[in-house]
Amino acid sequence: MATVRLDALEKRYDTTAAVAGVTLDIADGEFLTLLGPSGCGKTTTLRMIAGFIAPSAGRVWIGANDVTTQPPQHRDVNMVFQDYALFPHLTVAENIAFGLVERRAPRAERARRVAELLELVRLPGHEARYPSELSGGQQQRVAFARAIAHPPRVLLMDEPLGALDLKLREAMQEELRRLQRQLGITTVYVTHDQVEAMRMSDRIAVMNQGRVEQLGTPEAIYERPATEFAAGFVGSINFLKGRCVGHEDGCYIVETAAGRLRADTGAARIAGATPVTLAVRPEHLRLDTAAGADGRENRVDGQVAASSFLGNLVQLVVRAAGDLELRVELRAGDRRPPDGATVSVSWPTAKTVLLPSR
Amino acid sequence: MMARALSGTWLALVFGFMIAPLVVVAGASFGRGGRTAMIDFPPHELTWQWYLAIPGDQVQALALSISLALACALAAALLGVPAALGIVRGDLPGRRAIAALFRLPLQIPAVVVGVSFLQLYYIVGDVIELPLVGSFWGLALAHLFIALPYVVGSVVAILNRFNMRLEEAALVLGAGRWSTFRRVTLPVIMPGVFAGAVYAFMVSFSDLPVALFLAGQGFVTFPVAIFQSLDYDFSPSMLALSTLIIVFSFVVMVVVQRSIGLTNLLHTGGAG
Repeated sequence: MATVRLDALEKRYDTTAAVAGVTLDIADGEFLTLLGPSGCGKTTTLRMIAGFIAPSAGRVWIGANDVTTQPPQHRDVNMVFQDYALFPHLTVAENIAFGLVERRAPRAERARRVAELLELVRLPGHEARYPSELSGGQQQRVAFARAIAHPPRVLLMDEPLGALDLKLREAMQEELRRLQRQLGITTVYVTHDQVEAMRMSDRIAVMNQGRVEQLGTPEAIYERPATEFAAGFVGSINFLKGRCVGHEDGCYIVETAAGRLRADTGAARIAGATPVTLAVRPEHLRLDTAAGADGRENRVDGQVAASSFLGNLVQLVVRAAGDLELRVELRAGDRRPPDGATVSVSWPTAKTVLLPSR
Repeated sequence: MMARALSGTWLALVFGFMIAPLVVVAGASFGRGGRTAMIDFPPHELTWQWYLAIPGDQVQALALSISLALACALAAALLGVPAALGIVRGDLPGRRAIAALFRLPLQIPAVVVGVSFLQLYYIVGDVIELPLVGSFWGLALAHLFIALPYVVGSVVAILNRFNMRLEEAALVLGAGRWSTFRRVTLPVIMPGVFAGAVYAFMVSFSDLPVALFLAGQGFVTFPVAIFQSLDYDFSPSMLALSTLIIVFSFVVMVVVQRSIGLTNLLHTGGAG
């Protein structure tokens, strides 16, 4: 187990930068997820930690060692691949013991360890099977067992659940997280699935265009996004464009097409009359018929343009002045206005985040 | 229904075409032989006599051909695997040109190859003062030349769909480059190597044009021996020997299909 430190890591291909300066400190035993859309540089970053790709600039530290120039086999990291990369010509037991053979572990100890690991991943008795005889979920477990057979200092996982169907994926998310906690292995996990990232991670690094847009706990990223990209990538959110015209009582005042709105939290130092974006999650929006907004509430009037019933909640689209569209989420039991009804939408300024405009 | 009958007929015709020569050879090998026709098919009278009368030098030629083909297959595998790795994985400039070069022997008529090697061996043999013509290694080298493209071709094909993640997985598991090759790459591409080597064996074993030039006194491959005997002292024993070879080839084919073919399908085809 060890800490990982990425220091201004870069990877350029000709003129384009796949990774454009990533600096991250990963704590011992932490589960950190690199989250972002395809092409954001998350996999390239992971592969630079593994040693499959040489960085164009920057350093990779594992524990107290600068491993930037070390080949993968000397880094004492291990990886679970998206397609599992199980050796097709070897049995489950031989796959799991592969690294132990490489480390010259005695035969009896290898057999003991294989049995122990198969117990751990709930596949006892599958020693003699071949990978092609296993289901996707079983292959995934074997790949995990193989990766931790000789406990690595850092475990890397590249979309390991991407090939599984939803039900199995959710079960495996819990299982992987349980195993990771139990073993305390420092883990760097790559995914484009924000729900998966939220469910599993201690911290998430939201990546976009080769950079880390925001690093924080799932709660922090959800409640206090730092950029429009991070806000939009994790969960759904409403954006309201405007200009910051002032700051009073610890509140930013923003002039938008739908009137003057306030935000308690600001992610950036905002100078006067700067273009900014307000962000608020749909579940913080309420429909009010009673008038009288105090200073701690924002209020926008509009018409219900569409609504859909999703079982546990109702989603409304409210069209306000200036062609502004607000997504509102109501609990299923709440009163549901008909389409075209005039409503007043309000939400607390404490739940409104001010972001620098892109 | 109609289409089914048609395709069945077509299949039967093709199958008949493929198997007819073998049936004639095998059938005639049991025939006593006519006065005029050397090949007695369909046989008028069945006999084992030609099987008992297979001359010793033919058996010797057959043994030579088999060891020659084995040497050729082994050498082609040993050279072909690194060559294919270089073509697929290497970053040499002109990789395509090199790949084309390895296909070249397929495009040269075997007779021309035979003449070329004969000339080459005369020249080189004079310099190093070793008789290459009429020697085992001289002929093995020429056979390697015509057989190598088969191994390179089949290994390149399997390497092209090789999943590089397998090697990365081996590396992070602590295996060095050589260990990764020995424990992962080679076993996974083995079906391709084996298929290429079987081709190399067949090419060497059945070669007549090259061997005609390079065979010498007391050094005669099996196809050359058959060719010569047809020329002046044909005996139905040739048919008997050929029949034995057909049976042997068939058995080998079934065994290979059962072992390599099936395991290949099961283990490399599935979770690649």
